Amino acid sequence: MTTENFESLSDPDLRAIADRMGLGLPADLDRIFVVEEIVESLEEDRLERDRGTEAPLYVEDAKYWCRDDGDVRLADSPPKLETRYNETAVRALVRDPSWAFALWDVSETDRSAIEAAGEDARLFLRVAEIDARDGGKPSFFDIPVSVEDSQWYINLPHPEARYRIDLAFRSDGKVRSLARSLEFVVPRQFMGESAIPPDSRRLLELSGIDDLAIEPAEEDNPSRILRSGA
Amino acid sequence: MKAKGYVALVLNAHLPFVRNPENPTFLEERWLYEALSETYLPLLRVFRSLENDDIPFKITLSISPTLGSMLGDALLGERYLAYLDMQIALGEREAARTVGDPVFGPLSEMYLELYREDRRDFAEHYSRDVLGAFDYHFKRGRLELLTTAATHAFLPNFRLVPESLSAQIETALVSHRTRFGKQPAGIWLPHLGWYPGAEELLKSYNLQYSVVTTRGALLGEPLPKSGSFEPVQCPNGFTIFVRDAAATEAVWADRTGYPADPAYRDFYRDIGFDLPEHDISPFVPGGGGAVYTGFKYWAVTGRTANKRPYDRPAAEAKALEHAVSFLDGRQEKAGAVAQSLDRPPLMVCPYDAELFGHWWFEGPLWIDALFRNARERELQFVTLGEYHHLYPESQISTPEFSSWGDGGYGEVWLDGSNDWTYRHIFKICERMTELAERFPNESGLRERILNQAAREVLLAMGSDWPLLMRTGRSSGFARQKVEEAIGNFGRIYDMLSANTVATEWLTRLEKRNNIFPQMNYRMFRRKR
Repeated sequence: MTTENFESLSDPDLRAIADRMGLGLPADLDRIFVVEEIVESLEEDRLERDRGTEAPLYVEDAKYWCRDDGDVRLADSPPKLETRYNETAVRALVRDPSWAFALWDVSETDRSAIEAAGEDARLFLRVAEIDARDGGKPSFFDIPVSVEDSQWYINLPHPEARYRIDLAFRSDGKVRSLARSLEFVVPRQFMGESAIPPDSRRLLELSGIDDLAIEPAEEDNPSRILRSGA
Repeated sequence: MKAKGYVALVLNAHLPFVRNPENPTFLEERWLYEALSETYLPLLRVFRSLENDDIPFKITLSISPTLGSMLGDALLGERYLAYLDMQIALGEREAARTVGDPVFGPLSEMYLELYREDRRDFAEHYSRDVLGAFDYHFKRGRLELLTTAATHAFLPNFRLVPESLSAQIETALVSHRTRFGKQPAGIWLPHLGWYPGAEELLKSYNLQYSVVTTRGALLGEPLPKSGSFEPVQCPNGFTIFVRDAAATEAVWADRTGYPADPAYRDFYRDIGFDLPEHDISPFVPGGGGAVYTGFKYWAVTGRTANKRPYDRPAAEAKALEHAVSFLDGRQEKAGAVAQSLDRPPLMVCPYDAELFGHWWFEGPLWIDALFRNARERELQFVTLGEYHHLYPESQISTPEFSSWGDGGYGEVWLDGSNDWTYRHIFKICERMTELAERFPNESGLRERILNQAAREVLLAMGSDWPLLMRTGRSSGFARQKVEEAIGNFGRIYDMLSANTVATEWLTRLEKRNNIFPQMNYRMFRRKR
């Protein structure tokens, strides 16, 4: 998700993301700096993960080592794959508590309709949280995309929430949904708020819960970086 | 002696399907040959040795359908013997090159003898039937054999195409029953990739249990009160064993795990890179380029380029020391939690089989030492099935979406390096279901072509390809394998749409991708 996408989110959603990441930003910080902090820390997370070596994959990788370079040609040259399948569809694949991957296609017919709607017609993804956790109105945010785009990683504001994504376009102030993804639930990153029974505390500690950083922090989250899947 | 704790050693033996009949020196086929030489045959030697010495052992072993297919393949068996002959020739050349050298002479002799032993075992002792050798121990109750997804697909990423998920499981079960004559009770989730809802799919095929990560289990709902020391059960009764984090860390931690000990053999330093290319090329398929030969003369030493020569006796002593340390750790843990549980704690230790021998050269020795030193302890090794039989009921809880990959969820198999594949794979999955619905009662040539289409879909779904794209290792090859499977499917789809069949091409493809001979494309139909 780019800076522009974060800028399109509401203040409460931005705050929710920042809180979940444990950024501890001052309450009166201007939204432009909130976005900056989020983008920077996500990049730091990515670099941190890239630097770390996840042992299982390290070993899994090793069984494929036989040459120093990776280039080999198969007997038959692989075909050139289609870039589009001339259908209007959007699919969403949840990846982790923060990200979903959306991929979509727009049929030639729908492309023509969008182009015919004039220069003001705008294609976008509408990411809707279906069962709002506070019982309020379902909320959504829009991500502008171009007709040439076909996939996007979407940062999701609320873990454990249920979402769906519409591929839509706006023209003359009207919104028309072209396709809708199946609903998906974002996995949780932290355990529930309910207290751990005293009898279980020691068993969970000996199971390694402290190293997993999955307990909700009391005030701020001390470990916003995802840990390896122990 | 009554057990105060149970330990379940669970190994996943898997390699992707790589078979190229047109090219007798196809380098990536060496993945199989190296795993055979360094892991599967050495493990079987451990089992044989334990059996000869009346040492009881219990291991749960998943043999993936793709690996099973390759281990049972006559052509690959023939090529493996040719590989061994070349390795023996290299060993003889190395023995001559290092003769009289008190350090490297014995090491080259060690490798020469290992490859000779592999040849004797494969050709004579097991008559090329490695699966039969595992089955021998399975039939005697020492091994429990599990299956896994047909092409080791990372299941959470295919939730959008449920028919293809079903086909992964159904094909795996048919493949397992054909090889071992029995329905497996448990399934290995590739990369421990779990998602809520998987239990319904797995239970519908009469599978009873699997293993997830500690993170996935502890994030489950409701909270597993016994931590990782007991399994949990989904509301539908499917049992989930939980990986023991400390046991994982002891063996698998990158810098502090046992294999990182300075005494052990270094994996990376190989004569394929140390010696001049003209010294190695006569022993390399196709003749050129730097490759890993398997002849590695140096110890891990530490994070330095100045490696010490490998000292085999010192490494063997270290493997024994680490086995005892592992048992001590588990025993201590069992003692610490016993009073909080109403049954002896279980510690589930799942690893990739290829860790042992291929990556961690002394790994098979460590396994051998585990069982030899467990006898006088209050720890008991069990298979997952044995434990499940002893304790069929567990706390109800459904684990969270999880995997053992970086981040703990699904990002290894879905990131900027490999996300392009999903558009195409989802499409061929959907089209395969469409074909199965359109042609439910075909026979003859049309059935053959539909079955081949189904094979290509499953091959495209394999988790090895996105993993390799992410790590960068053999990423070009991985990309081509996915493109090839998608392209093959596309050509079949077009042929069926045009009502034509390129018979010669189809026959060639069937011979190359001859996996899953019992394929029934109808398993891609929608479940009603």
